[in-house]
Amino acid sequence: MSGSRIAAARARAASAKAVLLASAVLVFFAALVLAAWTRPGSSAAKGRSAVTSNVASSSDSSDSFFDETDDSGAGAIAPSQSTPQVATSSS
Amino acid sequence: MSSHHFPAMGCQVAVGGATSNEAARIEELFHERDRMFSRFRADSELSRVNRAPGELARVSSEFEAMARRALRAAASTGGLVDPTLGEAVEAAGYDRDFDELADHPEPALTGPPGRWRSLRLGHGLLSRPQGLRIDLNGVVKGRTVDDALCLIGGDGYVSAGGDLATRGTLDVELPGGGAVRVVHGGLATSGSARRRWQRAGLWQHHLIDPRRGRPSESPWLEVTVSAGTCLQADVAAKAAFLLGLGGPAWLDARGLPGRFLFREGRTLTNLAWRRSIPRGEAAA
Repeated sequence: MSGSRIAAARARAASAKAVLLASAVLVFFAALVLAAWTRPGSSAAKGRSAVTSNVASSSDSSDSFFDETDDSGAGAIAPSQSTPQVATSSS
Repeated sequence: MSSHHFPAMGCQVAVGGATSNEAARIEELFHERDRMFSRFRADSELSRVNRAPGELARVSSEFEAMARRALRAAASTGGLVDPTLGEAVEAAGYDRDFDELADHPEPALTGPPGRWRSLRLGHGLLSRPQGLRIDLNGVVKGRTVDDALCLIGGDGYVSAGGDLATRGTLDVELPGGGAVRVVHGGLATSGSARRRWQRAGLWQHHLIDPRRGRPSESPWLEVTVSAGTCLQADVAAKAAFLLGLGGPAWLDARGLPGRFLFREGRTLTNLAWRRSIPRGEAAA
């Protein structure tokens, strides 16, 4: 009789521990999301746009905007050697 | 090399080396981005977001990605290239398609300074102070040029009003004379030479100084920058223009070649540019 009461108490305690653990995990991840959202100028999601999934471009994946980001590498210029095909100007 | 031309985003787009199918996809990409990000189309997503009441607006994944790029551009330029200057550029008078813009007798107003740090973005939602108007044009065109180049299978280039990206070498005429060969990546020019108008007899232009909420009084007329992508070059050129005399050193600190055209026609190049062009000046 007393053994089954102890077993029942143990089961309730184990259940309470599981609930507490799950709650703690939930609170932790909620705090992470909240921190990302409230950081000034924040952009929480880091994924690539799905709309232009047919377009694989290069400039988004680095922490530093101007760093080399993939095998496309940095820009390179050299002295002109022929008649220009296009012009650059403020637009 | 075959070339294809069409108007989009208020400028002429030139595409070289694309098949007719690729050129058609590129043209559609530009129009799609224009439909989404134009300040002057009431049905664009940007206009819908700017009209949304309250502080929260739901945004598409593509809009969110572009806004995220704009925030990264702002962070990387110390807030010089700021996506929250929609109200300031309108206060300066740029409140309609540039082709429809006429000189106006009323003086330009000063808008609020940049507030990019007030934006929150994530999970399909954009939060901003009520009434803040976003303008993503600091990144949309450059990114679209880069994306368009990816639609070309072989060597080729895409140039939107002179902001360009190339795969394969491309000789490019520079502002104020001379030319340069782009061996790889992007080249962009920002300045006050073209997109300008008058208010009460005073020239205004579209490059707003986010610290003051009105057009920059930079000593430069145009700044040209080479970088790995057109987006990087365009953002760097805008920042270097807005930094004024600090622009050349700012670009050197990032290893980016830059060429600066003074208002009176003189040119100046930074160390990174001179390392790439040994004679110190582009070929005439």
